[in-house]
Amino acid sequence: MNHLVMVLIAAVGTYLTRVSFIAFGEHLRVVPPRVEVMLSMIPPAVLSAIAATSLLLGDDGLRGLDEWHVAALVSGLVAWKTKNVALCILAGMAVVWTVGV
Amino acid sequence: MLAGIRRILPFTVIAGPFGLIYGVTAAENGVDTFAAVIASFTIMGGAAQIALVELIGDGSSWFVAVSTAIVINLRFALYSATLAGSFADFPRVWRFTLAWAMTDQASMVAIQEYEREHDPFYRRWFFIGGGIFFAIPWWIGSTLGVLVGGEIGPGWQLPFAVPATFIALLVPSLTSRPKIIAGVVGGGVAVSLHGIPSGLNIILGAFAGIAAGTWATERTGRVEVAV
Repeated sequence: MNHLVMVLIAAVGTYLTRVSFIAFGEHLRVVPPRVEVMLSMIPPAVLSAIAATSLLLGDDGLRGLDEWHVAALVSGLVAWKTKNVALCILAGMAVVWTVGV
Repeated sequence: MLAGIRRILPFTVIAGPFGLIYGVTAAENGVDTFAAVIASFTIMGGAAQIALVELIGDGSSWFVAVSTAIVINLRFALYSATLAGSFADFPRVWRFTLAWAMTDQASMVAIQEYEREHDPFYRRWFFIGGGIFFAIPWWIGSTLGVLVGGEIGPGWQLPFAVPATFIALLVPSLTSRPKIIAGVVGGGVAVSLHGIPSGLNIILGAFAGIAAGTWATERTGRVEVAV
């Protein structure tokens, strides 16, 4: 399919997600507790599914251990200790640059 | 508006390079240049855009590629729900425009600020300031990346920035036992389903993680009530 059409479908889906609760405006000041719990599970579940896929899966099945996994551990530690996105990425990149050379 | 800009500045440092990574990834996966640039203005979500262009490059079906991008962006529903109460005081046009400028960073900064500042006029200008000033380096970086493309050599190890970004966002989100369960199940299911089309494993892993985390929360909730 045309790449532009794919981008636009993804954009519409993303916009609808963004506007979802906001669109209800004054009719929805309180989100039901159960929905709130489900929503709060989205970041850990989605982010971990993506991170695990890119770290552990290669083109055909499981990916062997390499400098990426060392770097991922370092990134994880830095993220845990500092909660700083830029620092976490830079620390990981520094490891792949050093170990990968 | 100035306050919003000031608060978002520490995050804008990462928006430019991250945009560059997206742009280069798009170019290397043979994504149409115009479509790749437009994505940064319309989808405006780096993680989803990177997944989308990688799946296009892998030759996945358009449905899987588009659905994966949308599932990755489902987290915006969380910000939408959190911000809905504050946004309710804004004129309709503002609500629907600000929704477009919603990024992880702009939302998190605004959610914190709204705890202190209650004036709707201040609140909406704060959001537009943070939203736009985070987006500008993202637009510049990604456009540059798409145009420069393959000129950036493999020695830079840019692809590692993709998992690194997700780790950077994931680790701080693991603030409770149920959320850790959501993460473990989400990642575990996604990896164990590696035989199925790429992208689909992320969607199924994500839903499994959300279900497991919700179940774990409700279970502990009942236990607390019983005690």
